[in-house]
Amino acid sequence: MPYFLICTFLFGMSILSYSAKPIVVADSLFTNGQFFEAAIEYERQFYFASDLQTKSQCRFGKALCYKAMGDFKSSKKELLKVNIYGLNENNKKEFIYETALISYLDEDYLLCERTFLQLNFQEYDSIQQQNLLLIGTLNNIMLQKFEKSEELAKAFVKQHNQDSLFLEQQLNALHKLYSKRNLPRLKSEKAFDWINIAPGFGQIYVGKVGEGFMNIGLNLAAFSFGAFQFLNGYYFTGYFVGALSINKFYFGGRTRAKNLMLEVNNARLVDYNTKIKNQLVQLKP
Amino acid sequence: MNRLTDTILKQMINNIRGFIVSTGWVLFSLLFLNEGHTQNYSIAEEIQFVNYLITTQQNKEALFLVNKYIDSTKYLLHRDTLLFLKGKLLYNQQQLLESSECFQKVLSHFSLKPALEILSSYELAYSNKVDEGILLLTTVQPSDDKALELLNFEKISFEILSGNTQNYKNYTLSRDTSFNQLSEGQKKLDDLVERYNQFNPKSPVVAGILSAIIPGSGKIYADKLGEGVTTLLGMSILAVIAIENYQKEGINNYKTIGFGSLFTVFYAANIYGSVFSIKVYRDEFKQSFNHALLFNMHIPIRNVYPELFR
Repeated sequence: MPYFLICTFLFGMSILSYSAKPIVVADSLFTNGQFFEAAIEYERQFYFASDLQTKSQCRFGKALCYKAMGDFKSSKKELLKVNIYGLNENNKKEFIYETALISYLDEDYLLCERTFLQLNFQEYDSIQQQNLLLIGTLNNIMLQKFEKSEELAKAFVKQHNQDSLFLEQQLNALHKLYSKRNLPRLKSEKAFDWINIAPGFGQIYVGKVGEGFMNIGLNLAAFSFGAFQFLNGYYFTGYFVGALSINKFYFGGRTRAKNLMLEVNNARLVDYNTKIKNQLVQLKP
Repeated sequence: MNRLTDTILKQMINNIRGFIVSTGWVLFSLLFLNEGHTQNYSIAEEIQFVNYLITTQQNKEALFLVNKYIDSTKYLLHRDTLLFLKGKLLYNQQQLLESSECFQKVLSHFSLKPALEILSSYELAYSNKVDEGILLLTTVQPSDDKALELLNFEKISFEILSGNTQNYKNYTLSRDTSFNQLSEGQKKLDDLVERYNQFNPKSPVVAGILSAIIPGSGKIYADKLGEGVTTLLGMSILAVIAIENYQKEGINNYKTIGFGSLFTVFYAANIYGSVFSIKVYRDEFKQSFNHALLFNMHIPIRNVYPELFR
């Protein structure tokens, strides 16, 4: 009899908890690693649910499924559809945390920065705090806010180290990495726009010296040919061959140089980002 | 002593019985919970959900569920509905041949079967399988007057699509315009046929000769005004440069030879290009005509059977 009563009680409780959590199927699929099926299940619950709380939870759950599948774009899209008023305090906290992480992974650095403004750092457990500090550090590098990034990186190191000697070493290493000498040497867009007026100089400025000289040579050749023909009374030949070629070589070269500059800046930021990441990740347990 | 043993035995039996009943109860509970995981929704609700996924363009998810349900025996009675949904999904994804295949698999007792066959034949036509589309139309058994009218309309359109304007005239004698949804389509069909009959295919020989006289004019004749003007300008520039060098340096100068040769090559290529542009002109007309015709074939299917596209 006591067994019977205990089991009846447990059964009743489980039934009650089951009905109180309509997204339990989706959750269990997610736990089993069946993320695509879980995403469908969350969507189904979203479709049939009538209350805002379940709907918001489902959207959030679906976003996490896409994140687990590595589809950060879809994940972000789902997160942006979540009605935050439908989430309880704990979920709201998780939602902000995931938005920061996913927007960083989707390379939407501005959204990541905006999300950081919404979060209350103290609400999170120590592991989440460390992750947030890491995301913030890396995100600020991509936004070229190195001072803010250094501040967060130091906070990350301090949270990890109790040993004062090791902490000192780590802080020094970081200080060195963030020193002006080691910061990524990004090409100034303002300076570039002026330099790029001269043909081929844009390429040389971003480090493609050979390409720059080739462009100068082509422009000079076209110009010389045109001018020579014109001066010798070959007006049509000079104008059409010289001017049309210059038009192509000059403007084509300028556009190419602009693309190169954006590529170079991005590559340098990514390189620096990796350096800092490697420095910080080695501290993680 | 015996009484004590009896009491202990009775207690043991009671405990064992309680244990067995409780274990059974626990197993039943687990079974019930497990059923709850999979049987939360009725089949109608599952299908409604798939339809929702299709309309919200969550195609990958919808296709996953439809394929899963089609293979399941639980949905055997709803196979036609699922095939219809799969066809609709593939249709939305522009996979028309696969969609047509699904529609054709739907069994004849399905209420929308004639509509699906007509849509399927349209999909075949759109995929350049006009003959297969015509063949499919001959097997359609219209369920009512509405389907019969639509079927006739589609047959007429197919005749035009395959270039049989004579047969089209035969059909026009028997068609009935009692359905508003079709009368507009029939008017447009007449306009299209008139356009088809009035089409001037133009001569590639004329285009070639015109281009030989004035470079680019053959292209203008082939309705390619932009290309013609560009060719004329380019050729004029080359001619002016060649003449300029010839006048100042004579025929043996390298620039005269260079620009003169360039002009000659472009001149010959321009004549060939003009002849070829007539073929392009004809193909473009045919393509645009077929596109307009197919569009016109599609509208009545949507109007007569809106339930196919909801």
